Amino acid sequence: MKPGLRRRSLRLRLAFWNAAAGAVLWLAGLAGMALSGFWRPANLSDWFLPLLAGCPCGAIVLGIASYFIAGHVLKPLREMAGLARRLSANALRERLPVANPHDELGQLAAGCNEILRQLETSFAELDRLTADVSHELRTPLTAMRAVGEVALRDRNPAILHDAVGSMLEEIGRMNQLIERLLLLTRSDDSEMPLQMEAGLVRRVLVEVNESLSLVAGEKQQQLKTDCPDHLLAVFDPALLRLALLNLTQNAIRYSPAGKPINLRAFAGQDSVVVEVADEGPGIAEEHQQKIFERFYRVDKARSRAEGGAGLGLAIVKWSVGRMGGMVELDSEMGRGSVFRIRLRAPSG
Amino acid sequence: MRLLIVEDDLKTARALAAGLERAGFSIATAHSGEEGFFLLNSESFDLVVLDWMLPGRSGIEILKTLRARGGNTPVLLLTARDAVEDRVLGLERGADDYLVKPFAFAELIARIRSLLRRTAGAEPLKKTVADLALDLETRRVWRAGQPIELTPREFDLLAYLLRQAGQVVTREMLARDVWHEANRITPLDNVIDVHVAHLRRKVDESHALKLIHTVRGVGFVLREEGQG
Repeated sequence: MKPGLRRRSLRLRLAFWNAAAGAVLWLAGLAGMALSGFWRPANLSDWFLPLLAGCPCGAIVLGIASYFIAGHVLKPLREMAGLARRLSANALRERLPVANPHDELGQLAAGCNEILRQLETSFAELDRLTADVSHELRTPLTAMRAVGEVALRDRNPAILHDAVGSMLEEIGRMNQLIERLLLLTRSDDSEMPLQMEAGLVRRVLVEVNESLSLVAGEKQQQLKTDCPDHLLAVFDPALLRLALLNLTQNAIRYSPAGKPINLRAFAGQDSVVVEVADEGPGIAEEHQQKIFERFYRVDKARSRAEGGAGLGLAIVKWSVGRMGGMVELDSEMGRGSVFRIRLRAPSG
Repeated sequence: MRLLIVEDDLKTARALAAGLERAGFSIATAHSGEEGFFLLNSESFDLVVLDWMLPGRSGIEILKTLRARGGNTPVLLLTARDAVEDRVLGLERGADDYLVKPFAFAELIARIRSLLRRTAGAEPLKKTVADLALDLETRRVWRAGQPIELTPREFDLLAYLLRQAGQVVTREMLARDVWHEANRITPLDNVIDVHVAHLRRKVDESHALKLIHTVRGVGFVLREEGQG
């Protein structure tokens, strides 16, 4: 059953109530005039005419007028309802017209538009991420399929053995990709509970240096650590190590043989600064903002060939963000790059 | 050694059973919780490899009932859920170890052997493979009677390979057990490769018999050449 006409239309309801108010006002006016002696009806018909004819006339006039006024005032709301019916996840591009940004309805429309904009951005990001992930997964799948199909044509066990090994390598790569993605998309993150405490920064830097000095040595790069002995910051050791290992491995990977890499930390104005500085080729201005995004690569072919999946810096940003810190990049073409992590200094 | 595998995915169960049989274990398989529970009650096993998510009776329920009845067979729990609270729940309910899917087969074997060893008793402090000898107590290493100088990390790495001698060791296992890196995301693969290369130079380079081998796509193994 449909609800009554009046329940369905705010416009009709307003008109009805205004008509009623018109009748009441008319009667009150008559009573006022009669009581004040301004109007003295001589006989019964003097009473009847204003009551029977004037009262409904006033009510009708006010009702019709307010029906049209309400229609005009409520027009933005009708547009919103229409837009809401047309919207879906795939069509978030439409926006509400904002006739007057200062009144209530204008503010409501602006608010709706802001929500729509945010929804559109996050849906677009989701689309992009899905496309990127599919692409990243398809690359190892293609390799595995090709290797497997070619190996099956051969009866040579050595070739089969090699093919299986190569497929396992790709599986390992896919597995790592999925794990890194899971880490980045898991918001509550029960995988790595946060353990924030004041600790010696030097200890982490030395650990990272110890882990990577052999790798750097392979490229005749010297890995230097420069950090005051008693410098304290608030961090989660596993997350800071994760971030620094990623940054330092990038520095080793992208700077030429023989160039030193500096791991340094010092007390800043109101934070503790940890830097990974290299003398590599530097990062062009146009990439500097985007480089922390998932799957963003400056040189696509090259970094994939060197084992990168385009997630390292996204993980750095994520892990530093979890510790309540910030990552910044200072880079100049031909001079090198400095990745700077800002951590909270222990209070008191 | 007789092992029970309770795993509902047929392909996985068959591959695990074949691999473990080749590794010298005798295997029984169950494909549902009920079947696994029935087998556990009717036969005796040295170890159970138990999948968490099973149709019918879940792995964790089987484990709970088993422990409640006083059964102390070591249980290795396989799980696709890798949140910390899940692991804690698994261990609380009486699992002796857990492995997160997808896992390397090499790791499964290593965990099984380590669980069986744990129930068997203490390990010896001196280990040898061919003419390589290692003393865990004094942290010294000899090859053909000649001492080899190793960094602490290299020693830990060699000791780990030697403890698993003949078994393949994955980079993931090394990252966790030698580098003590708790999460699987930390990028240590090339760090491990470089350390293994250095260790190989010190241990194998001047000897005809090579002991440290790379198994492509899986990891490393310490064994006398020609085997397996």
